[in-house]
Amino acid sequence: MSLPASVQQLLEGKIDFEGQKTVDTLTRFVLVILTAVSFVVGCVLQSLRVTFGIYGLGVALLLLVVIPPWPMYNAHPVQWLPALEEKKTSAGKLELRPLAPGRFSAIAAANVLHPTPTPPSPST
Amino acid sequence: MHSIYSRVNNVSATLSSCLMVLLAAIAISSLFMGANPEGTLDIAQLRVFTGQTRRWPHQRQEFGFVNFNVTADLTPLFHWNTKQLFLYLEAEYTNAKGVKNEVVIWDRIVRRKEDAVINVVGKNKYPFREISSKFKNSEPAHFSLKYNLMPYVGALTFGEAARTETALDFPEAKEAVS
Repeated sequence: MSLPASVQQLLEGKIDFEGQKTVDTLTRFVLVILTAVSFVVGCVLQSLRVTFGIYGLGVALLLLVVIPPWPMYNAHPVQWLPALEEKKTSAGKLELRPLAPGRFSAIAAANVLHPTPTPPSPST
Repeated sequence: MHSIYSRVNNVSATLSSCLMVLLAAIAISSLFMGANPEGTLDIAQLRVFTGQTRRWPHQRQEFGFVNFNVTADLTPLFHWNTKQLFLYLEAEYTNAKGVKNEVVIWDRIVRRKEDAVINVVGKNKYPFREISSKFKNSEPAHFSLKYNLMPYVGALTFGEAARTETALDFPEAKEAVS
């Protein structure tokens, strides 16, 4: 998409992992409880209008809480480790090391050409 | 859940599953709303005349004309999942050829609980004619008030609210009203 970066970021609405877990748990919890409550209340009052009224209101509130990227969902940003440097071997081959192990070590490890990481030496 | 799009996707997926469960629960709950309304149905008069329909202009047929009184209180049938009731008055008889017939001669749609108390003095809405052209030698007819409960969600259910106690014989066909 060729929208400006600020608009793209707005539309993307990124949230961190803790936030994603919160959103996931909240969605499931709220929807199941809402289904049960709206059914029981409607059955007691014998009105389908009440059932779907409660359901609709509940869903609207849930969407308001869950969809926009509220700041509380960005309260635990990922802690990236400091970047490792590239090091040229004596044979001239470029050695690429995992730059950001963090939580993504499994993914980043796939990019490693040399499996055993060696500590970086200060470049001259 | 990392972007708005994926959150909307996830929420709508869970939402539609929960909605399906809710609708199924509503449909199943109407099975437990057992109601058996009773009413009365009296046939004031049953007459048979010969006539013709526009469909078969050259075929003389016998038409039955029924005047009836029906009273029934169908309010127990209106629960939260009732959308409307379709009531129909049926004439059941076996004709001279031994074929069992059920003819709907009157119907009504009831949409609200307030309209569910039926007190009708009426005549047949629809032509009551015998396919084999003559009512002669048919067995006596029973009339019944049946209903079809149409829910918002779920299966259609049927029932009978009233029935004539004694069967009525078909009188001799007359040529004209006199």
